[in-house]
Amino acid sequence: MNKTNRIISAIALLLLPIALRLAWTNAFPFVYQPNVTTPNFEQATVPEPPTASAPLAGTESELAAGQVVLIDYAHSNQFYVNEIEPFTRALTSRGAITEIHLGEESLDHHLKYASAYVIISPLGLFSPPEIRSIERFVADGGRLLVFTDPTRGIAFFDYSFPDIDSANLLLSSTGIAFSGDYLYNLSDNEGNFRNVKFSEFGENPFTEDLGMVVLYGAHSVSAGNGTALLKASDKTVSSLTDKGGDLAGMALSADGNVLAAGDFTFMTTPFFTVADNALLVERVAEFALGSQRQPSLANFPYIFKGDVTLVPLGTTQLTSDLLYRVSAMQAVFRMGNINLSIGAEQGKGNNLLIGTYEEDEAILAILEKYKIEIGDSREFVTMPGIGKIGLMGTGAMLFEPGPNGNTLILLADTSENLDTLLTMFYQGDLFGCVVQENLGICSLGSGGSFNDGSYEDYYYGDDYYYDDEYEEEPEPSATPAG
Amino acid sequence: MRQGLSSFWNAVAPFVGWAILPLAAGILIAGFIPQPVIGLIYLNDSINPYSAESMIRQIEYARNHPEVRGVVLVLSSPGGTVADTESVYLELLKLRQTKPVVASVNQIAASGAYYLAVGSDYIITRPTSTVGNVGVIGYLPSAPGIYESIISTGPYKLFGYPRDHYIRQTEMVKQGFALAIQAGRGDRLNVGMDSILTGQLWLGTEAARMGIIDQIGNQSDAEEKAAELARVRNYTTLDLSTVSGYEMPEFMFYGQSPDGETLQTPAEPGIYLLYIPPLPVAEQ
Repeated sequence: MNKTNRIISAIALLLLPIALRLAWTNAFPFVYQPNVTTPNFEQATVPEPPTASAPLAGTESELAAGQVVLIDYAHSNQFYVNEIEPFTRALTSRGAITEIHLGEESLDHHLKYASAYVIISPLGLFSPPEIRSIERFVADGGRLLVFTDPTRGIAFFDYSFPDIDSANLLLSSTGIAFSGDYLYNLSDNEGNFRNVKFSEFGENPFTEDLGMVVLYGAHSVSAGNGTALLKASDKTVSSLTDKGGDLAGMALSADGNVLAAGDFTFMTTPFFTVADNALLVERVAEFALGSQRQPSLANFPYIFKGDVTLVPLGTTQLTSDLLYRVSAMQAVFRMGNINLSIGAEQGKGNNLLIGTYEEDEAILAILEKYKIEIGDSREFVTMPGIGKIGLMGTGAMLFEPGPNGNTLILLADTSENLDTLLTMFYQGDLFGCVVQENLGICSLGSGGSFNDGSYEDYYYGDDYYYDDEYEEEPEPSATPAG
Repeated sequence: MRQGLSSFWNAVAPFVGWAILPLAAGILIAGFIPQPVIGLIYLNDSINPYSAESMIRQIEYARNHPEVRGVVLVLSSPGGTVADTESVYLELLKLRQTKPVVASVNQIAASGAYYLAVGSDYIITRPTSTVGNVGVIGYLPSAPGIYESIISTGPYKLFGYPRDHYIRQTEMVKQGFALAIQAGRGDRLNVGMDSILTGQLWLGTEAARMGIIDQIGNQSDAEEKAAELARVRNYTTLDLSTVSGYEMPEFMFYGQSPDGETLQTPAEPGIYLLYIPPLPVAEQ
């Protein structure tokens, strides 16, 4: 072996163990080829809220002056009144009055004078009498607005107490129902999957000029025979099924008097400023104040809106007793921001006419107008649609709504019973009265001795002043006895 | 005997200079070539400032030591804070420029832990490991207000964020997560991002079908895969936490109830890439 070969062999022998070691620990090809894609985080941006499609037109103020919108706070409602300030502002800017129903007085009482009843996220169930009151209210043309919100019930991981149970029970007669879900859209949303955009609307004046509105966590609403006002897009799905379809976020009942929305966050700050939500809030307010409810005796004693003139008819005198009743009535009216004044003649607005069945020109004209006949013996009075009624101890309420104001006529057989009838009126108690449409016949007791059990009867009744042992002193006579 | 040795030397001596000495030197040098190491980085905790720091030190060790040829990230974590997750993720990407990283999921790689997994070259899970829960969770800051006894210089000095903007920022964090998934999984995904972004958890077998992970297997499979990607064999494994020189302090990531029980929710409010498991069903 020559020298060159020896050198080559030496190098080979030197490298051999190294190569073997490398071959033992490495696989062919030896080089790791990285394949790393670095995400471009700058692509991630903070989503901006959509802006309104058109500026809001100014509201015509005082369009709904005096209308009362009742807001429910008696059913463990999961909201604070200040949250819905954009909505209440839209109401009051139209002259309406918002009133909170705390449950201290009966709902039936409040609904007599309210134009709309707003229920937001109720956890407490409505009692059957309450539901019947609300159904009557809606049937009379009152507006019912029910808002639920999936973020406001009490929810745990495995069970929940959603607000929809109470709302659905209430809405069962309207065909509208909330689902126990929430709507979401992963691909086209307003900053979060649960903030759902609505660009498809049901045909209704309510949705005119709306381009896009956003609900911030909404139950889906089934419209039944009514109209789905806010229709979800194809990509919006229900959390119950993770599927889309015929989903809506707001619905109107078939009779047009009930509005149901699966969210109320759109009426809160700052969310009402997004997209056309401000216009939607205005529309909701207009809906609440669009009641076609006609005043009737069923709303007794809340049958006047605006100031009232009280006119004594015939020979009716404003005696001490009667003045007392009128003053009490004035106080009651004042609580409703209504002024009651006494006048000799009917005013152009609301009138309250009081009198007894007597042979007076004005009273006879009224009797004739309402086709009420008093028998010659004055034992009976014949009411249209009712028939003969005993005259003694009864009174009549005749109500006539008008375009400029309403007129209520209270007639009784005696001035004492007229007092009683007035008491019933300002106490708002129709107990003892049979009401048929705008005609009421009331039992006032027998010959004026009827005691309605009011506190006036207690304090001003004979028993208050005289105890049992009190012996009435003999009336002084003109000529001494004996 | 002596004559025998002498004759052996006479026979070998001509080869000593040009054969045996180089061979011995070669063997000696070969002995200095270290056996390849597949480094193991364990995450059996939430991703929090300390666990993240520990992982970053281990990643640095792997990057700075040539014998560490690949890394297996062994995950059993529900995720954790956003910033810490992103920090570890970015370090992983840097490591992958030179060395492969394989993620091996034991029990769970949810949310931020899955974020780390998509930062690897390959994801292996057990058949019933749970992965996914892609998304962000946060607790809204308080509504801004002012207080008689606290003076601050701006409306959000006390609260940090407007609530609405905070929600939108959370969405941006989600977008970042989605970008990381798209970058890491790319064409391997068999489902759309909409499905992934639902936040659902999937079992390993489902996840494999959907392309959310690559393979069903165990940690040893992950080690083999890391070795395969690193082009090494006859490797050894090393728990990098034992050599990284970082002692992780005790840290209470989760809150505590007044009676001392550990809660399933973080102690501090903030934005998290975290899976919070459902509470046990209470007797009703």
